[in-house]
Amino acid sequence: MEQAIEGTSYSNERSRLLTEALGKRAERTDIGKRARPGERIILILLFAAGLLSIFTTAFIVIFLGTEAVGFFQSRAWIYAKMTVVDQAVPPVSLRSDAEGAVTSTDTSLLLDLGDQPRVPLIPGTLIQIGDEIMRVVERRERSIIVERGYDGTEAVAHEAGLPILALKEDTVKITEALGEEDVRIALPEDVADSFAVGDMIHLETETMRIAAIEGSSLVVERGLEDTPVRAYPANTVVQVERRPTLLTYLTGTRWQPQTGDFGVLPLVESTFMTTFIAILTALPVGLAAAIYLSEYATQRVRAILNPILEILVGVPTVVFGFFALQFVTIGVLRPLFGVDIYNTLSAGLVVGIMIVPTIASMSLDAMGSVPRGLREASYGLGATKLETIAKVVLPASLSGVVAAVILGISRAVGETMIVAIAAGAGPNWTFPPNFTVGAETMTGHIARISGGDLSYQSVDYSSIFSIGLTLFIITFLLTQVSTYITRRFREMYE
Amino acid sequence: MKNRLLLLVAVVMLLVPFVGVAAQDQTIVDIAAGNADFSTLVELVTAAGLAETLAGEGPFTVFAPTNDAFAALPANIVAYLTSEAGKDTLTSILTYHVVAGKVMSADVATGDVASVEGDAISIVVDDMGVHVENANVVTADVEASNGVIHVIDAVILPDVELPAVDPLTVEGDIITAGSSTVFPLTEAMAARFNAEGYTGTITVDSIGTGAGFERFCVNGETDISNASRAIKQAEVDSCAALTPARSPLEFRVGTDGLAVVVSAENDFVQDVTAEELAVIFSTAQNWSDVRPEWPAEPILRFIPGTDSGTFDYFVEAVFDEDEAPILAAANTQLSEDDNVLVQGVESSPYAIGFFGYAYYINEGEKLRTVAINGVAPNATSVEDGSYLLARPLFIYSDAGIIAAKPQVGSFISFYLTNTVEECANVGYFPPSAFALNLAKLNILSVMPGM
Repeated sequence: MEQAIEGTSYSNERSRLLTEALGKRAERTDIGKRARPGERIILILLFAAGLLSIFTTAFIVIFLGTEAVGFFQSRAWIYAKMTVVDQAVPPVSLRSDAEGAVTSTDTSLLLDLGDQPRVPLIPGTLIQIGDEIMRVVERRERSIIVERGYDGTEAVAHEAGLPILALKEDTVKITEALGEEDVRIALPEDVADSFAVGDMIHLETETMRIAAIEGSSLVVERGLEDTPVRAYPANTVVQVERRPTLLTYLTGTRWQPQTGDFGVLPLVESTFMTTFIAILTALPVGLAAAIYLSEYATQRVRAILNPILEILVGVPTVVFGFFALQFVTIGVLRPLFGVDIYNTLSAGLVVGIMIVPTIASMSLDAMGSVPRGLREASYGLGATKLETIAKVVLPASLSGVVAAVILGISRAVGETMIVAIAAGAGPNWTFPPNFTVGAETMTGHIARISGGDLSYQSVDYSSIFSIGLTLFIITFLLTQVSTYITRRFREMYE
Repeated sequence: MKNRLLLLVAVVMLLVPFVGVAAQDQTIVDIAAGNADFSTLVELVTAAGLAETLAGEGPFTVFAPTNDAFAALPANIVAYLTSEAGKDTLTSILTYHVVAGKVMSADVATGDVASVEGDAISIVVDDMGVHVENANVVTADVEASNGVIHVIDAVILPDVELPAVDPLTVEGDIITAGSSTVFPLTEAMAARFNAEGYTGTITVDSIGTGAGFERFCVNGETDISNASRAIKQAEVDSCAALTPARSPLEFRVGTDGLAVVVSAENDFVQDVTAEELAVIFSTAQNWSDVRPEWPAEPILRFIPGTDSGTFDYFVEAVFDEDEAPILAAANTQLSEDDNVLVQGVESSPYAIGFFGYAYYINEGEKLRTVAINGVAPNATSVEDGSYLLARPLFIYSDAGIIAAKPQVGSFISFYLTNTVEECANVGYFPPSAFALNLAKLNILSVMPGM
């Protein structure tokens, strides 16, 4: 970053010459060999400090890496599910007249509600007509809109008047008691097929492997992984193993490690959402402040305004967090737009306010190092002040400004307290992004999860590190981009 | 209220001589002795040496528990009361059933009356009849020459004082395990016991009620079992099969209740069924998905984080222990911080959330509780278990353990003395006075040395 700011100045070139000159002298007089014992100690301390910081960084990266790998070896035990007919939903059927018939492409089904006052199927319910399973998308007065051919079934035509069965997921329970010696687990009909030989299952805390599937029962190896073998009464719930893979981690749109949903995208999305809003706020404000202070403000005004801007840097982020929740959300956004109490918009805005001084003061430095001669030449060619700023000063300081913005982005991505307080506390994937509802960022999630009593063995614990590594990679890439841009756009003036 | 009642009692006492003339010439003791339903009472009155007093001039009002009422008490308590060591306690319990003067049922109003024992007896009169503390009057106004008998269906208990325990003098370790709900309470109590000078170690394992009983009754490893339900017969049986056999003693230490809350601005959700509750917190998108007459607005959910016992309990009670549906629900905010939940629920008329009822009580007027299956949460419905999201908190131990490890008895005694206070700190309801007194009698009965 330093390099970026100074890269545009004369002083850079000068200091290069100076170093060269000093270097020559050093060779001639051989200052290095005349180090005194006291200096040697200082040298060792400096070396040790350098080494320490390098090792610490390396250690943290390695630690993060190994723990994150641990996440992909961890697993969640979730209740095995089977689809059953939901008896609680009152029966309805397709209308029995000609219009009730359904072709293989119809998505609107006309219903005969019987004595029901209203369609009892709520959106999201799976229904079955004949062999086909559909998902209810919307319900209207006497019809429903469905998604056809759900769950691997084929969309086919159906006759009018067919009954519609509402389905629901139910947990799989063993149908007969299992003694300590037994190896045969009895399951409800048609359920055993959904398991595969070699799958690991859990009854309470005992781990078993499926050795064979016979009819509606599973033959298992008991007490694997040193888990205690016990007897289980009928109706004990069967749990199955769910492991994260890199693919599900990077592409899944649901994050609930405890129930086997390992998609990190909702967290990444909301981090980007708050960062986007933050940059949208901070870039114009920070840049405008920098231009004003650099080009327009008199020395006295600058002496007053500059420190005030710097004060913002010193405000603890937890204060910003409550400012976001109490003032921005409750005081401004809710009355104006009726947003939810926790939302990414307000968190983003306040993160933006937080990074304004970062962007402003670094841009200010970059503009300050544009040589006076360039400005004077511009004026000499008849350019106005604004033209000079837009066409000479900004391009000349571009690399410094870009570096400032990227540092701002990195801070916004890593910001924790503000988003933890104001953005929400539940992973939420919205597409297209919805800024008015609550969502949880990567940092916010880590903060919340580590606040409870986490056990070292849990999926939640290791998931923290995989998120941390993801976060690290994102900020690392940003830094690389920043370095690249500063090099690429660096303007050298002789 | 109390003054009016005292006045009433005074007036009644003035009238007594006139009424007395009309009464039968049998004394209270004669009547009781003549009725097979009161044989336990008479036996106990005789054992306590109170027969003569009750046969005396009086006049007295006696609330007489039937034999069934006494039979409902744990056998070890009755045995203790009839023993020499329990004589004082027996006397105070029996005199607690007696009020000076002759109070007829027609004269009673809701309020407190002083018993002969000294503690006040709370009396409630409603459509269902007359309730005396935890008992109901089943037959009123059995007149005797020296007073009147009201028959009640349960024994009532005065405040039982346990001898003070000095944690400084207690030695040896204690092992407890069981319910994750009782865990915070036992842990707080263990911390307090240590803070007051106990130097041993109290292990508190949070492994669930069932697993806790397994360690207590099958493996026989633990001294105290923490439980958020009463012990099952199968567990009692396996306890009895141990060598040495254990016969679990039950101590009620509190009640856990969850409040399902909505914003005070919400004017449509008053009462839900358990099934609707499950739908609200899982598959339903809009309120109208649950009931057609409710608005077609998205449900905003605010629930405790997955590490909390509150979350586990809700999932257990509403979702049959399967946490997948509630975690998959849209618009769900989870937080271990109850304030975050309160703020969230307050923010919108379409928000709903749940947390410990005790916390709700402190939260004031911006929230409103939702009745479940027609039962609103309050101290009574939580206590008697008619409210769905309430469950009793117990600790279990055994006389043999307490005899072998006196520190266990001391700890339980300390626990029962302080549980009302700690329940408030942890966020639970304290046990009812009767349940607590019964628990105290229970520990007295197995620690005759105290």
